[in-house]
Amino acid sequence: MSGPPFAWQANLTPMERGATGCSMSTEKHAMSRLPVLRHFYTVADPFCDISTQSLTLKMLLLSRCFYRVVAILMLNTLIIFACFELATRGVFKIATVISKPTEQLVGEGSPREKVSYYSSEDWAKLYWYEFRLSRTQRYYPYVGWRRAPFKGKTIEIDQNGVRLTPGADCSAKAFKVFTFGASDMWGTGAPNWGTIPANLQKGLAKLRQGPVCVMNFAESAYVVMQDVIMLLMQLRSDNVPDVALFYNIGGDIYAAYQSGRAGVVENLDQMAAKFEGRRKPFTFVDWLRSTNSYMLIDYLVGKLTVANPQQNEPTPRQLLTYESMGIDVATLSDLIAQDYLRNYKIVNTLAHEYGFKPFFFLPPNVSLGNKPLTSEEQAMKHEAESDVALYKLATAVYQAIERESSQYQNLYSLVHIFDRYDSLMWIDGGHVTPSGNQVIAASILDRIQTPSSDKK
Amino acid sequence: MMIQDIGTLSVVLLLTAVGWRLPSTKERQILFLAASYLFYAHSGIGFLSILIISSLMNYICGCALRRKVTASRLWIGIALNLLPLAFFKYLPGLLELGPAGSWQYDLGRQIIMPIGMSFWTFQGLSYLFDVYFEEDVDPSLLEFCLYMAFWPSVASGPICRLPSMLPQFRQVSPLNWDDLSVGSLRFIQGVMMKFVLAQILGTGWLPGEGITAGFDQMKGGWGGVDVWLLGIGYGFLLFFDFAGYSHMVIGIARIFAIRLPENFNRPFLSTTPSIFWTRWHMSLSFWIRDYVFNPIATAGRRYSWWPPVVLIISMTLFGLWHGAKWTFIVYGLYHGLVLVIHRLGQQMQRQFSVRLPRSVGAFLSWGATFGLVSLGFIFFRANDWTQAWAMLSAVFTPAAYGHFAMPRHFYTLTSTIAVGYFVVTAGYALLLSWRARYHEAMSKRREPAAHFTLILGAVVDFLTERLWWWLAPALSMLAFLVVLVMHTRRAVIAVTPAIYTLF
Repeated sequence: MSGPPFAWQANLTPMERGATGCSMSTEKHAMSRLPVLRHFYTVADPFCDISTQSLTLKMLLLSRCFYRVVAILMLNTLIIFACFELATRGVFKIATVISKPTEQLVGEGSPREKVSYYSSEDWAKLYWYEFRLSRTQRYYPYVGWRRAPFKGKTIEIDQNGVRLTPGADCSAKAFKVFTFGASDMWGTGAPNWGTIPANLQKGLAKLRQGPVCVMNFAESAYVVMQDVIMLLMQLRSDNVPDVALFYNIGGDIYAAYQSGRAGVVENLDQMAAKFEGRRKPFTFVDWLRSTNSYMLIDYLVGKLTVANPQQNEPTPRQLLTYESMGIDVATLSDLIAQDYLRNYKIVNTLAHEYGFKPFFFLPPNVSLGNKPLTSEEQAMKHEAESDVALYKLATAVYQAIERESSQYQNLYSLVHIFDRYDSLMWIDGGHVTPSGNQVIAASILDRIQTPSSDKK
Repeated sequence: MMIQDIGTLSVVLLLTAVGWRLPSTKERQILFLAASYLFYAHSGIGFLSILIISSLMNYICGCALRRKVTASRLWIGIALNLLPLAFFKYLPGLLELGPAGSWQYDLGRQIIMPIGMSFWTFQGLSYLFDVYFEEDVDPSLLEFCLYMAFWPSVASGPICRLPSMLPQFRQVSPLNWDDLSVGSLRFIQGVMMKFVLAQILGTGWLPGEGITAGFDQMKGGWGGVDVWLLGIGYGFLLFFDFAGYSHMVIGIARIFAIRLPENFNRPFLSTTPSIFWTRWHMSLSFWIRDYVFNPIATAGRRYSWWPPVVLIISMTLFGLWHGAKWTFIVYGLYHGLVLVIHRLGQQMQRQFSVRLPRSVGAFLSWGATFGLVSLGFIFFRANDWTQAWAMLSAVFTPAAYGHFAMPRHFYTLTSTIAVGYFVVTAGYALLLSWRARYHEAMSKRREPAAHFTLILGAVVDFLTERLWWWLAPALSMLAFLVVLVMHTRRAVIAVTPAIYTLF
């Protein structure tokens, strides 16, 4: 049987057999006197028929041909992108199924995970894995956010977003200690048994007769006002402590550094934008960045490239900070210090009313104090101080509060707490190792262990 | 690649493109030479001077030889070529044998070889040999300088021959869609091989888990499997790196309608060592064959022991060409011995008429060749003789096969890429065979049964015929995503220089 081998070919006209839908003409090159156009016909589209003498018609046909070429190329781009996107989605699905989550997550985080302290701790890998999993935040009334409930081997968070303190016995007659603060008091870098509250629990349990209940109300990125509100919420529900510990200032400094205002929460602008329904316009590039294709290329490019040494992180000058807003560091630091001391007074008044003993501690900072730093800590200090605006503000706030601290009976600075320690204590600019937490807890314990701190 | 590199390359490309369209041969050659000298001058004006002096010297030697063909004139030409090569390439290695801090050592460190010197020196020598053997080559000074410095091949070959280049420099080539298409495809293929596959094999999936770490960071304790995979992996690394580079330069030259000699032809599919050496670094191995092995072997052909000896000498020279290191000499010697043993094996096979099914025999022969070639790469890459010996000891110690010293990703990655290469090569051949069957069915102009392979052949044919209609959008999309990712990451490509720029 003769004829075209496939039916679909038999039905096509000669024009349709060409890729662009145009038919081949042998005289087309001769017809075009412009070399550029001739090249266009021969190279870009060998199937376009412009075998006509009329210049107007020639231009018209050329336009049609050009349109077809562009249309086919664009359509092909879309089809190929869609296919690629589907394929990459499949790749990621398969990768998710076959890879263990721990391998995916561990070691991809911040440099603090690779601090030498953790290399000898068998719980460290699991801890940082659980740390990532437990970072989910939920809305919490009045304070904005708290972590979602989580149950791991190194991190456990209850329904109220409160991190577990091992050994805490919160029965009716227990000696209650409420700790407030940000991520450092929450215990970033430490498993449940290595946080400051856990060490306080152990210390108090040894020192005191009867049950001891240390509750960790700290939460990442909290400012002191949120700590105070957390305390208020406990008091309102008739959960009155014997001792309330406030271990925070970093949150207030960072919030002011971001927004140029004292007495606000961290990430104020983003939260306000979310609440007000303001959104950054979602551009085509943003959409591309959200595709699986982009993610796959990003992963592969990450394997084949290195960071440009001449263009690393954006310099602090490029970030929007109080400094770029033209706000004076002295003024802002004074305002932060005043807010802090006013919070102290509010808590003190509540303490008189409810009968608990309040303590305020200024946490240590790698850039302040005189600790003999290890080489790793020196790198952390260097990194922390590379953001000059933040460093200047933190220094000014600490100085302002320390100037006033003598007038406040239960306000202590722990800035020099590590001055006697040679070994590694820091894991980054603001968080310490479980050993560091132990030292801090011992210091806090010294201060709260006075006869007046007994149950009212 | 720095901005100034891109700038220079753009000017070089522009000069070549403009020169290519000029109707006058001489003007075109002048622009090509200007582009080539500009390209070469980017590595140093001093180096360019050496290249120009070498070109002039070879041209004068060639003229003298043409006037009167004598062996003494040829030897003078050879010596004048080899002396600078010895000074820049081999003397530093010898001087650095002295104690660190001594003047010899410091001098050795200060001598830097002009880029591509081994390649263009051999091009100059091949010209002298061709004149001596009375080949019909009569270049002008301009043409000869262009031959020596032609920018796509000046840095790392392929080693060209004047008889094939001269006609191409003299003819005006029209814009040719085939050249443009094939050249671009080869360039893209080269980029993928050099900057993706070779890079990943070299550095590993995670830092310190690649072939480079296996040779440079480990001081000992390799297991048998480690050494085999390091040998196989380095073979593929070298192949992707150098064949990728060759594809790129051949592709660029092809875009401008100039065909450079091929350098690789699926070497890992070779079924005998002799075939391997007709497929691996072909421009050098053919050079050695034509100008070293053939003349010397022919001179003593009445002695049966002479050709094997010349073969070993030729291969040792091949190894020595890479540099003044014992490991290179042993690499050449090893391959010389393998080739001689292969020849003896062939003779024995004829005498004893060993019969195996053809496919089994071919597979066993391929396996033996692949294994021997991979072991040879241990000599090539080892940092010193002690390391090479320690690695080979692991191969021949059965107990070492229970010991695995490399990271887990290394085994997965290296074996995946090696197996992937064969799968892709076989898949490509299969697609071509389907397409051929489809064409055959079409040519018979009869209704074939709607066989699965014919339908696939039709699809392959459809996509091949309209290659750029889908490849150009796909590449544009990929390029856009890569640029976007790199911009977002503020990253730069971790370009490892082509391995053969070191030789």
